[in-house]
Amino acid sequence: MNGLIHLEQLNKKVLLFVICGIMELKGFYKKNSLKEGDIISLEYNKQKVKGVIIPSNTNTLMLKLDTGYNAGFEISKVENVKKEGESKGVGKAKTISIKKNPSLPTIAILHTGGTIASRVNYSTGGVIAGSNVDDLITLFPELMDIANIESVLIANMMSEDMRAKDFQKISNAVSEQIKKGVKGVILGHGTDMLGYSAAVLSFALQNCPIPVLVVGTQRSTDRGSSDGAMNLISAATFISKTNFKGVGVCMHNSTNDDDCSIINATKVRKMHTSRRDAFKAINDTPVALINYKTKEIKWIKDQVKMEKSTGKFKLLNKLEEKVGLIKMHPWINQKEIEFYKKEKYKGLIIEATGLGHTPIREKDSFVKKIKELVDSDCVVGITSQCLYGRTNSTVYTNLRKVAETGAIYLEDMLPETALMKLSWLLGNYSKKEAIELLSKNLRGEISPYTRTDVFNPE
Amino acid sequence: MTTLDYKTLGMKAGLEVHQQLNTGKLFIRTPSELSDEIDFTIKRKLRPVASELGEYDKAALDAFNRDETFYYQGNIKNISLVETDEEPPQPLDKDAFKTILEVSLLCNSLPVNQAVVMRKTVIDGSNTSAFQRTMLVSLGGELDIGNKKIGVETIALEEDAARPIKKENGKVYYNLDRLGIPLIELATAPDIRTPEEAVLAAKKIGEMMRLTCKTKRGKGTIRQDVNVSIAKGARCEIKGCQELELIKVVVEKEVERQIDLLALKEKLNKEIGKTNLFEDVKEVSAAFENTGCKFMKNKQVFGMKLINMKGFLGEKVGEKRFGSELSAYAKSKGVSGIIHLDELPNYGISNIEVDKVKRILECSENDNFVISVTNKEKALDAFIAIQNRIKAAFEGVPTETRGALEEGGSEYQRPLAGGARMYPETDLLNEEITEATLKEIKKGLPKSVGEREKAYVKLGLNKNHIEEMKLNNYARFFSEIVKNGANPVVAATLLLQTLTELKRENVSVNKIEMNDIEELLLFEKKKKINKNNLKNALIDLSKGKTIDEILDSQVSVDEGAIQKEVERIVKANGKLVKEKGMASIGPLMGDLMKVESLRGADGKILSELLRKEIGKIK
Repeated sequence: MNGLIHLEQLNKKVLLFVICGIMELKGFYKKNSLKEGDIISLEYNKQKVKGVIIPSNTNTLMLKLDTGYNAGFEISKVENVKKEGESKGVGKAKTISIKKNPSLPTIAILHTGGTIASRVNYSTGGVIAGSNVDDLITLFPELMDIANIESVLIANMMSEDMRAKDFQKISNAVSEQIKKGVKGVILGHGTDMLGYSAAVLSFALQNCPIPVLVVGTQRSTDRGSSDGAMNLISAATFISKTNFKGVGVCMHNSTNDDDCSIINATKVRKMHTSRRDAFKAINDTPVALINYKTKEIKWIKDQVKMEKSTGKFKLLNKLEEKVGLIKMHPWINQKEIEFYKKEKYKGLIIEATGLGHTPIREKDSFVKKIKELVDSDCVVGITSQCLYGRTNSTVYTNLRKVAETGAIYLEDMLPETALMKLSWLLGNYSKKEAIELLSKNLRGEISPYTRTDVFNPE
Repeated sequence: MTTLDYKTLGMKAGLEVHQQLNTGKLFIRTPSELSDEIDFTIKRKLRPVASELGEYDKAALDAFNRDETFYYQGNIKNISLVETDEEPPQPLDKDAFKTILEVSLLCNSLPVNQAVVMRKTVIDGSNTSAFQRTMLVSLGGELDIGNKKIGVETIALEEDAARPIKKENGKVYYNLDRLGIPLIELATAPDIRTPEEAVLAAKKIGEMMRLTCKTKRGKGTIRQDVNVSIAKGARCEIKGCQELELIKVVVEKEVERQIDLLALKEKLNKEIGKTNLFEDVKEVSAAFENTGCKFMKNKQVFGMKLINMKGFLGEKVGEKRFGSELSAYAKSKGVSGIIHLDELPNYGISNIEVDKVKRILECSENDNFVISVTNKEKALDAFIAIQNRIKAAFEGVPTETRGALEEGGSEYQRPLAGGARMYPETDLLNEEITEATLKEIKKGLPKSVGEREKAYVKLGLNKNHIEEMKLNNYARFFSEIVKNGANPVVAATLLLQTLTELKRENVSVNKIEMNDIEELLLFEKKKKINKNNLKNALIDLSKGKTIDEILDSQVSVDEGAIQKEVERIVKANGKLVKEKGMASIGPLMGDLMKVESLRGADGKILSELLRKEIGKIK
């Protein structure tokens, strides 16, 4: 209790301090009849400076100086402040005029709020995101030689904050484009949830008749070194040159700006926090590589299979949010398993150790909790936190004990793909069907045999 | 060169000095070392980013249109994902930031309250990210150069760019080792009035930065840009003087060049006036079908008539001719050079060919022409640049950025950049500079050269040591350890001589911790280790031995044991001793040092006893 009061007092002090600070700056503005956006000149240490007032969240006067620098000045140290004018608002950006070329296919570029097309506002230092087709073509005029571009802003969503309705919005928008008959769809997406989103999309678009490529940027698009342009242009190239059917991810294949790879949406995982080539095919090879310079496509998977026609397209995009993912580790507590039962979860993916182990504990107490969960109407799937390789339920006695609970071993499926698949199955099928389909390969999420050439954690 | 009256000429100059710091890299924790050892090469493309108005920087667009591919090289020991633009920057190096605050306070420049890291757009490939990180740290201030004071405008802290290696056929190679090394950029006011003052100011700035003991030394670690103008002339920035004395020559030559350009302006306006000056670019390859000029044979050649300009391209401008100024503008557009009528016949081009060109371009008696071996697209670009430069000559001196040449001249590089294209580095926090920080730094501000000299004399250092120590990077460490009790003469000898010797002997001196050196010197003071054994101790430290291990090996050998060994060795070498007498002391001393049981014994006692023993034999 004492601690709480102390904290409260402290907070008040901090608050008071902040308010005083802002008051002081506000008072300074008032005294000199200034506001944000005004161009002013002043003397600091007898040095004349000129700049635009930009927003400040501290007590300092923040200026964007005419030399380009931003800097914060202590009000008590500035002299001879003079208003010189007001900065002009940002005018409409120049765009180039777009001509449709009837001999080229149409590609729809859908935006989810990431910044594929950004411009830098040098006068305020901000970054302006653009998503209309003019912005896109102006920034990436190469696209005009590849296809006629349609550009649609689906929503402004932060990738790490996505929920079922957001995923559904995306699959609805893609489905709409498929029905319109475009040659392919490019989906711009934040990279944190890109893998999850791609997997869901892959399941939601049953018999997807066109290439749907999810594209992200690991280096922000406000810099000349951004990977965004190459990923986008390579995706458009792949769509225009192939008849691939299904959902893939198109990102850098290595740290070099030479090839992008197309990776099956259910086998892709973000394996690095920041590198351009963070997205890797796990237990799988890429579908194909696209050379940025020559625009050549190099198929790695069988082109005929990848381009083969499928049945009638159908959108199945309900999702069950009451599905969990839990990682096994030495201190895991069986109460954590009980939680899913108590909260009436419909599904749980266990990221088990090695071949698919969970702890057993004294008198099988941990395994019993899993059994109770399975019996409680929750579908439980087992994947491995090794990511590479295949689970197995029979090699060791303890594995058999876990398998006997009714938890389903999911072979070489990625834990995150399993999570999204189970969520999708429970949203669109009966529990019985979901159990049946979970361990069946639907979109390449389970490979029939483990390849010898795909373990490359580098 | 005749001495010019700079006052009457209205000469004004300012300096911009870039000094590399010997701290960690500014935003990366890899070692701040250059290395030519190459483990990997990565390949990148850069593209310009549009401004708020959808516009591109012209230089950036030019670079993009050249379709260059950048190859970045490095080794895994020195280079991290930050240098390769695969990871956000790490926090600011505190040591570098402290150093720039010291420099600011040393010249009474006032730090800002919030320093903001900015991204300055650079698209020549020298930065993997396509921007350079830079922050404005302080404003105002002054430098005392003896007879006057030179104002300081700004002091900024920035990251050095990658090291250019080579450029061939659209492939540009850089080494990543230099990328991210901190640079202090100090810009003076245009208060300099003579070439000598420019040198004095540069010296003063260099000295002030070296007082911090945190600057890198050697070629390329300090770079000076000079801004020069004369009355009726214009500000020209001459970039990249690497030597102090050259600054004087650079200023002198630039003033002379501007004087000549003003004279040329008079002459042009008087004799030609602003009439139609140019005609369309035409292909003149036909004139050179059977040419004796090697670089023209079977090549496409384009030409442009310059109406009434005969003789003008041969006019003196600084050390060169007006034609050379035009040539530099043409070269900036990618042609390898131009040839004009005023320098012909030459290069194997005959008078007959000159006449043929004149005929194709329809030149009359007073006309001039320029020709260039290139394709049509580049020729058009280059000749437009020449037209613009000629038009500017009617106005006087164009303001421009020039590159310093080795002998002090300069050559056109590009138009003078306006306000740099900067936006905030969103991956980093602003750096707040509090009163408390400044107070703390003021307290520990480095001593001036004069103060240092006085202190060294008091401590009993010899002249050479005083001279060497006063601006040495060890100077502050030296005062610190002397204050803590180390013997000043022993410490100075170790820092200024022994370490240098060891470096020359290829001992990995950089593996020795400064803390260990301090401890060693304090133990020397306490007589736990003999000063004659310090060099060996440093070698042991470089090999990873601890101070305790080294001290343990310093057995105090009693004189009796030494005497025994001395007698044994002198006896064994009786013949040598008889022949050479005292001259045998050298080789025998060597033998004595090798005796395991005498390791750590005082060398002075050894040689004394040896001398006595040899004396006995005689």
